[in-house]
Amino acid sequence: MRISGRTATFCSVNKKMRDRSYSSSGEEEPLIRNQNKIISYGAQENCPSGGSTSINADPVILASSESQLPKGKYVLETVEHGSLNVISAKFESLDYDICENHLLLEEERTKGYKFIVKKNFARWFIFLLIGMLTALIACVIDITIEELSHIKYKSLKNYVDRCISENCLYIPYLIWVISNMIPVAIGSLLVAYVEPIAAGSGIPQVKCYLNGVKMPRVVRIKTLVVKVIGVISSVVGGLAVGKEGPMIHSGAVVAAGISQGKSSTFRRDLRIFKYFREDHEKRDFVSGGAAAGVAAAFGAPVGGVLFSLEEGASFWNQSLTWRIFFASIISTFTLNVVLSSYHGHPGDLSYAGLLNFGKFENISYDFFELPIFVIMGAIGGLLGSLFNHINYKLTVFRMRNIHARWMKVMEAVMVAAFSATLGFGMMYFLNDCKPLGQDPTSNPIQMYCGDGEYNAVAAIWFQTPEASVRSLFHDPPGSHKAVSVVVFFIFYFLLSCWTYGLSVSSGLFIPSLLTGAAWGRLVGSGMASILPSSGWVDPGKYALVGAAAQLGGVVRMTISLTVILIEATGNITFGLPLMLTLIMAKWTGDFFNEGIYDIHIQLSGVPLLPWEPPPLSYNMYASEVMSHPVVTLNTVESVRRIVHVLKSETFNGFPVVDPQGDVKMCQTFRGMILRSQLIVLLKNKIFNESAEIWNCKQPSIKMFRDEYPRYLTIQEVDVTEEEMKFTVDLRPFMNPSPYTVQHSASLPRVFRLFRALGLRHLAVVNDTNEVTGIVTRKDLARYRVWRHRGRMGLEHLAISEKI
Amino acid sequence: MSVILFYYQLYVIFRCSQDKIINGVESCKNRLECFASSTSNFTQCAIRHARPIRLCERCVGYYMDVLKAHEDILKAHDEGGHACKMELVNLDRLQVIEGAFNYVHNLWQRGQCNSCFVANDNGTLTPQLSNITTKFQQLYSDTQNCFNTFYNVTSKKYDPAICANCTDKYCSLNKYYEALKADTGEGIVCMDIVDAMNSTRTKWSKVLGCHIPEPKAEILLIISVVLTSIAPVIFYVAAKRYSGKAESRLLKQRRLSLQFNGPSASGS
Repeated sequence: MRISGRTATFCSVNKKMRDRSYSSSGEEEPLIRNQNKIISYGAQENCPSGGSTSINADPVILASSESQLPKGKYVLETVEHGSLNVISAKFESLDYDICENHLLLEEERTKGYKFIVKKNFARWFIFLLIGMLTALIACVIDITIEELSHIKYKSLKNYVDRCISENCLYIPYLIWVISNMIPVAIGSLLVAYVEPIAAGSGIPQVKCYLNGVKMPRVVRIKTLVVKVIGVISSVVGGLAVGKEGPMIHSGAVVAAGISQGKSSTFRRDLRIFKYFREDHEKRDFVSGGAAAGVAAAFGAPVGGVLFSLEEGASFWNQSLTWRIFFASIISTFTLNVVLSSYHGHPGDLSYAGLLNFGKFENISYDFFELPIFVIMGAIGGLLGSLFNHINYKLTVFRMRNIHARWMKVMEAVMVAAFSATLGFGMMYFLNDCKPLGQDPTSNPIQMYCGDGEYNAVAAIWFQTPEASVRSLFHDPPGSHKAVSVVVFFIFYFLLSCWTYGLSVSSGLFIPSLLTGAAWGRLVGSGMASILPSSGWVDPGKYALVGAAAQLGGVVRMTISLTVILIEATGNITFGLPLMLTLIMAKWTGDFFNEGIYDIHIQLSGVPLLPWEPPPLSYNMYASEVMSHPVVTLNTVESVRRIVHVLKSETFNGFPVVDPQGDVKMCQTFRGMILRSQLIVLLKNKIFNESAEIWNCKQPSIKMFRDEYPRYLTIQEVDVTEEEMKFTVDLRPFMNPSPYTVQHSASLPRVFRLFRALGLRHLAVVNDTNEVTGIVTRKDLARYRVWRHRGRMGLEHLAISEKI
Repeated sequence: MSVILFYYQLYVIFRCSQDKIINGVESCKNRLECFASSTSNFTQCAIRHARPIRLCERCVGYYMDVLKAHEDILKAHDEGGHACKMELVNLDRLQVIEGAFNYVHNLWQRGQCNSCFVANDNGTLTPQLSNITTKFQQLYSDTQNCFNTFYNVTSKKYDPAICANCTDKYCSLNKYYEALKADTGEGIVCMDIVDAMNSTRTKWSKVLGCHIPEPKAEILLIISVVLTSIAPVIFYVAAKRYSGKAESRLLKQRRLSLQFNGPSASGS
């Protein structure tokens, strides 16, 4: 009875709240009355029999009377894995907002401007280190891959050459299959069993991290090791993958590691850079690391900065740009120093072999070619969205049916074996013989060609995918038969689509570029055969445009991809065609689906916040957006209650309110305290009753900083029964001035405040400064705009337990 | 006319070399003349031996002349003690001398011609063919001789017996070349050798028709290919068939509206 009555009152209020002119304090009375539904553990202490709530009950169960499930946290529905419209509850936010408590102010007082200068200097120094170390890791990856692939393909070539005449082709075939399977098995075992987050390119994970989502284990040193070994083994294992994405992830890990001056994995604390031990600072370094990774992967420092800006960072400022650019340049420079001496040109930093995709000599284009580039861009968008769709279906299948780790390893190994089979089949059936004279290939294989000829298909397959891209860009016209390029394109497209999402470290850039270069070259040679007398048709040029279109269609990047390709080919005049192509590819692709990284982010249920709030949402108010019954703590709270709240709730931030004598009385909002802070307090036993013990130690901000970034869980904190009766004064530790919004604030307003400041908790208060709710990342991320075939709309996502 | 021209050239060459001996200090004009004639000699020689490429072997003398003449220009002084370099080089934007020299030098370098010859201890070129080259030429001429013995001049056709009889010679040439390539590394074999080998191979396969490899079905190969291709299909079907349902429960969201709608639905 009581319940239905309340519903009626609130509904009427809701109706009024639609009209903004009504939002005077008088209209909010029912909302204030509703305060007694807020589950306040503090209230029960003073008034054990107050209301219908009881201390041990789950707050949500209380709200919904008798619950249907053993644990009232769930609704009856379940969702199958691989759903796009679900957010996983396991993802937490990072704390970008600095907690301005008394401890921080105290620390601030002890520091002078000298400290600021020192900190700024240290920041530059760290960016220098990030650039250098990222480049060195990239060198290790580069050189190892090159050496191992050289050995592999050299010996394979010898076997093929010998076995053609001796009729034992199954031997090189099996050797190829096994030499694919063994490295991939090693890499896949590492990824599946040691560090699953090292799977894939790592770009989506870094993007989520930089958006403010705590991706578990994404920037750990273990991840870095697995990533580096994993990418070496998958490229050497002949999969249709590249090393670029993993290099970007490696850069991010390096940045996060160096900036902290300690490693939890090795239990080493160098006692330096302590002032950078917070999410906010770490985020900036990770942006720089990702940029340095791109710079090292493609030799594209500007592209790195722009990549970090476009695809990575969600927070950006001017001085950061300059530092990130510094890290990128240092990274490219270090890489060039090492690689030029590796290639036998020590000290020659402008050595052309350092350009990733080789220098395009005198590439030129005419005005009338621009429409062709635009059309190619559209084709790239179509192919890219097809790629994304197939890969999406495949990923859903994998999420639903391939759970066991051994199955993931098995799948990867089978794809590796199949890649060898595909290559071998193409070499066997496509007798594309070219005379050896001009020798563009390092391991020419004769197969069934006459003496003095080599098999052009084998030449593409018997090298790393990156080298294949280079040959498609630069091989003279007529190096490949059209048929073999067509077959190669079709199969490589499908193979790379199949490969992405396996449990191996793998980048997507190179396979997409290779697929695109193949069809681009086809377009070029097709036009050359239609217009034989025209001098402007250069297959290499069209291969480049095709590669850009394909990659743009898959990942939907624009500015950074343009610049990366300009830098990796050392040709700035070709910027306009590349840009037109990429814009067209993005628009065409976006018509059908989203970029591959976004699809994967959505599938894994990460609550990523986009740049802009959903459109047409001014009629949604904070009171609808927020999570409603809020668990609050009193300014002086009993240990028993804190422990209980921490154990029974999954929240990470708790509003601190004035203790109330009476249930009906106001709970004025005083501040916000984080779970991690409470745990540190409990661990260090900062209790009022034992003040004489800890007071001499002077609790400082250092106590909290030392625990960062891995806090204990509440189960790991030891609190004795006697201590349960003690109390804690939260006031010196809480954030006394957290950001709040009025409950009548609109969704865009809430969103912008939350997004721009990178908040984790945003308290919603009413006119008398009482907490009515709290807005967290998931509350905002569950509004998602969808776009499909020119239509768009807003969908509400469900929140699931775990994916 | 051409005879006169030829003798004139001979005279110039003669004078070039004579000048060096007779007079240490010579006019820069003469040195320029020397460089001009040596460059033109090399160019003529190079073009004459463009197909089949014998550029390195036949033109090495001219090439060394060019090198010497160029070096003279850079080092020598005229009677007045002026450096010829100052009078001839770097005075105009056409840069004829350097341009011509670069053309000659690049042509030589791109052909990897140095590797055909023995180098002095200090790395300078000598016109003496290296052992590798002579050995290769020996094998090459053996093979060519063998080919020629089976050439029927009247019908202008090769005797089909050529394949059986020359295989040994051809194979030893082939093997030597492969070993050479393996030793020196890719791309630094002298162009004469590379071209000789390429043309011989093409002749062997295309003109003589001795080696036309045919894809042969190997039963072991087919079995292993089929197995690796079927394995993923079986794997996916099995995964689909036997994997449990992957589901996760949805969490109840704490919404203000649910506070009122939820209980009224379940409570009343």
